Amino acid sequence: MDDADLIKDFRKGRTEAFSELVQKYSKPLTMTIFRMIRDVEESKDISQTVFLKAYEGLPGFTMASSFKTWLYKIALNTVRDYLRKRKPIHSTDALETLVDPAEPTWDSLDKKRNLSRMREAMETLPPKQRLTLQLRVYEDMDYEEIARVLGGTAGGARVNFFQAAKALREKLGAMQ
Amino acid sequence: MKKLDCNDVERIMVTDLDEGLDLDSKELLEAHLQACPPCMRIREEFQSLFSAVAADVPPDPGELFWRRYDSTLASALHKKRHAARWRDSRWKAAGVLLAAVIAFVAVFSVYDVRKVTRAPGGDTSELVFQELNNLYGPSPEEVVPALSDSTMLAEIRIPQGDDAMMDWFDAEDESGQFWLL
Repeated sequence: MDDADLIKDFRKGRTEAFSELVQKYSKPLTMTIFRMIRDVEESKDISQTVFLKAYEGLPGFTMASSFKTWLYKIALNTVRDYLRKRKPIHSTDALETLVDPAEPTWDSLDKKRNLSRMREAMETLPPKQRLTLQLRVYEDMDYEEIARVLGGTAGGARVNFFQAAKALREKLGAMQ
Repeated sequence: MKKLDCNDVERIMVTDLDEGLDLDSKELLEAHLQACPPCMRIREEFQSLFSAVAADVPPDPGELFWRRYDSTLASALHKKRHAARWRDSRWKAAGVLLAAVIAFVAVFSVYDVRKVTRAPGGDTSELVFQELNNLYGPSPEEVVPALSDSTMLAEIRIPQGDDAMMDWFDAEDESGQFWLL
């Protein structure tokens, strides 16, 4: 059953349809929020807030865009509100401390160092460029969808993606 | 064959890594890269960067985390549903109450109007005639005729009952002329 059918069911009064939407999007949405704020518990709370807002707003959702785009737009606004109130980004990252046990320690450390450098470089990007890159790479959104979430045009989103990639390459140099 | 400029290549190689290129553009790009080692190096850097970005997948926080996530969200949704149901029922009750108040007011305001129209002074038609008289004065038929116009007087001053009629005839007999009782 696709999102549109689930939304129709929800509007007809089948509240379980919303739970199915939660099941489908809770993990990717929480991970996207985590990438923005780097705090796993806060990501959980924000992600739940997003679903509660979606639950309230769903009867008025016109389906002009996809449910996913609409949900991520809500998420982005919620994260913005959160970041406005929050202190600068936490240096400790609960998920960063998790090491994959299957990976050799040295490789893991090297990989972690590179990831750390890349994340630091990402933090220096203008927010729109950073978010465009994240939505494109991790959420597999096309530029039309990114434009709907972040505002602007698909062409503008494409330019933002290019600028983000160019800036990261210049900041990081060769990462091999 | 058209050649690419180094300034344009960067954008084209990012597009290639991101969305892919059509065959002609891809051929042009590859031809340029074979002939231009600096651009080839930049492409390798972009490839490394894209791989690193794609590999930055946070480890799953674990089953327990997601169970807590589901249970707290389900509980919050349940509260919201309950609150919404309560809010709806309150609105419905308020609607019914409002309708009852409107009906009550409507019924009693009509009742009051009837009471007003039966106010002292007679029925509605009398009140209307009084109002017309106030506005335009009495009609010619209602003007009291001169005493000499006895016929008219007799027609207009209709006695109030049989006794009054008798009095009127008695008065005529005694005086030999019409007289106003």
